[in-house]
Amino acid sequence: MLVCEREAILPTLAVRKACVEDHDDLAPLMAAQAARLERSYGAFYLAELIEGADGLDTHVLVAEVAGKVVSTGIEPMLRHIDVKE
Amino acid sequence: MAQKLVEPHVALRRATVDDQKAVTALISRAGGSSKYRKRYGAFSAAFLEFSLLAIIAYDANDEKAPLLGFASFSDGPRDQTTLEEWLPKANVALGQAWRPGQALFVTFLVADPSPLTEQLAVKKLLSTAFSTQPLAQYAIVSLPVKESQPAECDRHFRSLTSELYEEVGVDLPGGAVGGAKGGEQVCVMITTYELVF
Repeated sequence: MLVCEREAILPTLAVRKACVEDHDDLAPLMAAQAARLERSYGAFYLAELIEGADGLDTHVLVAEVAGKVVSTGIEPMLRHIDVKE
Repeated sequence: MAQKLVEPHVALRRATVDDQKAVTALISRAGGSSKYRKRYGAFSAAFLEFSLLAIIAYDANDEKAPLLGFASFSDGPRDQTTLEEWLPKANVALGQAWRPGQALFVTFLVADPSPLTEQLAVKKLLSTAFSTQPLAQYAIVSLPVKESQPAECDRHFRSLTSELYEEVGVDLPGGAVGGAKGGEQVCVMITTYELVF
């Protein structure tokens, strides 16, 4: 009888607010999947995005497994969208 | 000139009855129907149509390409035993603490044997099964006694019964594994597909 545990395939994620220290963990993920953002907004856009989150209108969340931010993702959320821009 | 191997983009979807022919072709490619019949029983449309969950892995870059994997799951053991009967006995025999709803039974699993895709397809099939069944904590493959661990299960599954044999020295029919003294007194026997207590 063979068994495969969920944790081995889908580890439980802990989601929390991002901090600037997460930058180094997130940079490879962003480079791999969102290189266009760096071209458009510059090399420090990620740090600026995290620092710019005020916790009121803008939130940036990261997911981590066992204390390490994983390639699952980063989720910036805005309360207001500037549709004119 | 050698052909460059391109890693496929493995995508998943629910299986339908129309996939029977393609899954049969996949089984042939992965070793033949007799190999899988010994493990899971003869493949039929019932696996596609009546399973709790039946998932197809395919190459998103080329949807007409041969399938990359197929897995079907049920929420109970495959023989006549009900989960309510099976679970407490399995917990005692295997030293587990599974609760109802936590175990997902793999009723069929086949993956393209290509080294580029086999383990990736199996991982994605399992990942989708766990995502679809949020209460499931374990995927269980129950194999006949004489079946060795299938290659597609190498990376993501571990054998519970071989650990058990090593621990208590169960003598299998034919003396396949174990052999420690006193093994015949252990009240666990492995029959064709399921543990019998």
